[in-house]
Amino acid sequence: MIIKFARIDDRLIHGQVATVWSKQADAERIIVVSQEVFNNDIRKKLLKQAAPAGMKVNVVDVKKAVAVYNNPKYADTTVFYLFTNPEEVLELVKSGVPLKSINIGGMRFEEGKTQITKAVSVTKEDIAAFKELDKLGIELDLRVLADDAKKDLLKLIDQKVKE
Amino acid sequence: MKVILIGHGKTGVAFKGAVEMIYGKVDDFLPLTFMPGEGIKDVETKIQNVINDSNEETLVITDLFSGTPYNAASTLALQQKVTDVVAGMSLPMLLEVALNKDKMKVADLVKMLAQDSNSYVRVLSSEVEKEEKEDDF
Repeated sequence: MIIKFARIDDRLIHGQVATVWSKQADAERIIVVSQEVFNNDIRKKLLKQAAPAGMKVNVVDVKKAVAVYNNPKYADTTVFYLFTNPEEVLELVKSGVPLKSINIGGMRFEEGKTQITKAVSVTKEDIAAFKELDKLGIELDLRVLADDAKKDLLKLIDQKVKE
Repeated sequence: MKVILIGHGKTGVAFKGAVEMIYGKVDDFLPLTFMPGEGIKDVETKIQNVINDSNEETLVITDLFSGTPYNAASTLALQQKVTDVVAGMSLPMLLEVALNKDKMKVADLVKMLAQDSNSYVRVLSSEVEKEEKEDDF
């Protein structure tokens, strides 16, 4: 499996992802890695029908994502991974799927989260997962739109969490 | 390439805002308005004012075939003042333009838009049907 791009965006496939990011990623498949969506038939169905032209969409949990990554049948398949949170990114990486970079595009605000930017809010668990991903050498690329400047996520987290 | 957006009322302005929500800044998208009481000459003048002293290719995107913005832009196109005119402005179309305007000539871009235009309208029930036939892991 050839990993072209990986993004955290809890809106999953929506305008920005369906048009700009999927073009940038230039991949055959979008693989949504999310236990929550995997367990929800309606969301799964909606996501699959929202596939951008020429792309296939699969919804899997981490376990299945790892199995598919290691399946020789898909050795040449190019993929765009979509996640809703960094915990599952970390789980996938620790299971041996080598991501180089993770784009952080959208994590909506909820009660109890700390807002880092307009589009990204995090829990304590999210912060821990991001720090661990950083330690593993994975680039944290904080950008909503493709032509935004990349921001330093951990620095912003440090600033906000101290406040 | 310069891209002029003009539809009935303020649709051109609204569409530019929508493109920027998804794609990001598009400074070379120039929105114009066409308001009740204005006529074809007014629209021609507005378009001419934004293309003045430019050798750049210009594509005018309008909302309705044979509407006044389309007719005004077509008049200018036939005088070689703008490169080409497209009708049927929609968000998927404009995103395709945003993604390709810096690497394509107007002539190739409009061909692509015409080819892809049937994918701009999608219906949920047939998408779901299609999806069920597709293979899974």
